[in-house]
Amino acid sequence: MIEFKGVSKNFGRTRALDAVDITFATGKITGLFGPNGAGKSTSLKLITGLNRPDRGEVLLDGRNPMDSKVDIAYLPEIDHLYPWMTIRQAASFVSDFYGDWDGERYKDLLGFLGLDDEMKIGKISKGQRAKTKLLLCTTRRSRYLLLDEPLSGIDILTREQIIQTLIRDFREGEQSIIISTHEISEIEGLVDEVVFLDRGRVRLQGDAEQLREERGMSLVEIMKEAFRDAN
Amino acid sequence: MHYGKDIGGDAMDFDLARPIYQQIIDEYKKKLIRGELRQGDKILSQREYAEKARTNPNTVQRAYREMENMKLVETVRGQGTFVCIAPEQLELIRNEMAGSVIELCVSEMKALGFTEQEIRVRLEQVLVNAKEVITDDRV
Amino acid sequence: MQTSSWRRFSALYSKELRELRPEIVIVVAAAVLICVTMFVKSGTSERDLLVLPIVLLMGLAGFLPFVATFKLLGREWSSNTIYLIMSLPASGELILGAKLAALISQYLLGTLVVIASAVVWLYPHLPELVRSLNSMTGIDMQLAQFIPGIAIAYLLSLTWLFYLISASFLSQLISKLFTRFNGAITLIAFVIILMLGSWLMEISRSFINTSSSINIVGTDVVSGLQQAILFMGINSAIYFIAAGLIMMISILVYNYRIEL
Repeated sequence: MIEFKGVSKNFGRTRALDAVDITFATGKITGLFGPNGAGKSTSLKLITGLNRPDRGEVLLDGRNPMDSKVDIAYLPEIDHLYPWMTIRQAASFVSDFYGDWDGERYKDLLGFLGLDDEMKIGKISKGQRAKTKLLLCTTRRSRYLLLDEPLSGIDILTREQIIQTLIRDFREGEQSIIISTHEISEIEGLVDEVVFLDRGRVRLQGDAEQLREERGMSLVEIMKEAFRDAN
Repeated sequence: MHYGKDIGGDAMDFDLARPIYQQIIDEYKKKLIRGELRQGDKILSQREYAEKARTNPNTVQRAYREMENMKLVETVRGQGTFVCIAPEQLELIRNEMAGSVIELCVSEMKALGFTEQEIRVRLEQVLVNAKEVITDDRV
Repeated sequence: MQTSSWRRFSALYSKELRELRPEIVIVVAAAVLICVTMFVKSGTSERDLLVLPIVLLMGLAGFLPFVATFKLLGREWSSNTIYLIMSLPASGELILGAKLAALISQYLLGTLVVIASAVVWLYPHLPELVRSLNSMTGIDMQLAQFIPGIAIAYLLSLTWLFYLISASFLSQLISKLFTRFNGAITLIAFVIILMLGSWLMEISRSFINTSSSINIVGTDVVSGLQQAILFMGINSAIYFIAAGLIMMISILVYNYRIEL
């Protein structure tokens, strides 16, 4: 379980998060939705320990993010891999840090995603880079998987492969996945729970199926309505 | 075994304004009513279904669990999930499904302001037209 | 489930070494080229002229590791790989330690290769060198007597490098605490740390309490040499401690202050 307790975070004069309380349940896939600049990336960076809260605290099963790095697989929106490495070199580098690296699954995923691990990361297409990032995250049997805009700017076929990979390897009951995106429609069917963020505040959070049942609307429509009410 | 034909599944097929687990159950009910799935047939595992329909595995799990409770299917540990439905139970969901489709139709028509008599006439008309189409096809 | 510190350190260390490969290859290739030329031109006066490229290459081998500090650390930010590095279960000790170790390795490899080619160059000149030394000092010196001095001078150069690397790391990390003017802040912080360094030099001088300047020429050449060794030894120790402290501060800044 990941908890945000009254978390605020500023960057200079910009308020990224404003006294936010969120609980991400274990064993669930949570969609972290909201427009650009809503605080989605900051939330994930706080969980990963790349940022520290100005106020409040972030806890992963009661522990500080800094002490939980080994349990987290983090996929940032930007390209964060060394361009001079081949996929294999990057995989070997990452695998030296995590005991939950699964060599069998690596080979399996490589084939499924249609990647050749002799390819140099600096020389492959954007879609292949996105798949490489996903490969390095999902080869691990990590307790938390954090994906920041994993589908943005990626062609439709690759998107489907990415979503299928997530479903294939999701371990219900023990793994928590958080997917941040501003394109909700792509992953509507994928999430158990949703958190709508807007300008650093939580607009709405709840169980996706329950929200559909109660409101008779899709998540996209529910979010539009929530934001209309807020403005 | 009827692999492959027991699912039309694609994430796009779901109505995202309704709970997805209910739609999964409805899909299986329709297949049972149409006879596409019969007693003893193996259906997709939860994981396979989730992958194919690009749906959350927890949602699929919930749908399968409810189908077990409704006595539509049975999961045998280590072997998979099989259709396991009593004839009277099948008749029950058949009636239930028919009822809800008709009710939906009638309530929509009423909402548009049609009287019961008008609805009856139009239904007759549609049925006659449908018969003609079928006869034409055969010629 | 964390892998061993050693495994994580070696992953980082080999990654850094791979980043430094172009610089290392340049120095080693140039040294090899000089040696081959010496062999081809042996016995000619052109061979003597090769001392110039050797000296230049020595400077390069000593200087490149310092320049590379900005590459190894700064590039993590400019290429966004810091997102990967900071998300790894590896603290500043491992991250900065691996970079330091790679830079020191680069220095050792580069300078030792150049020193080797210098020895090759020097070998035919040895007898005349010893002769001129002896006539200058007026006593019968053995070359072996200089070896401890040379060794400690090399050690001193290493601690200075350690000091420069630490200063570079700390000033770069300090600049990352600000959102703007990173280049200027790095420069200012670096200059301040270097000024601190010259103050340390004064301290080490006062340690050995010499009002007279060090002098290896003259009759007292042996004691002059000993004095120089003593001075360099104390200087090394002081710089080593200072560099260690700066490195520790850098690690603390990385562990507790750096954000993305």
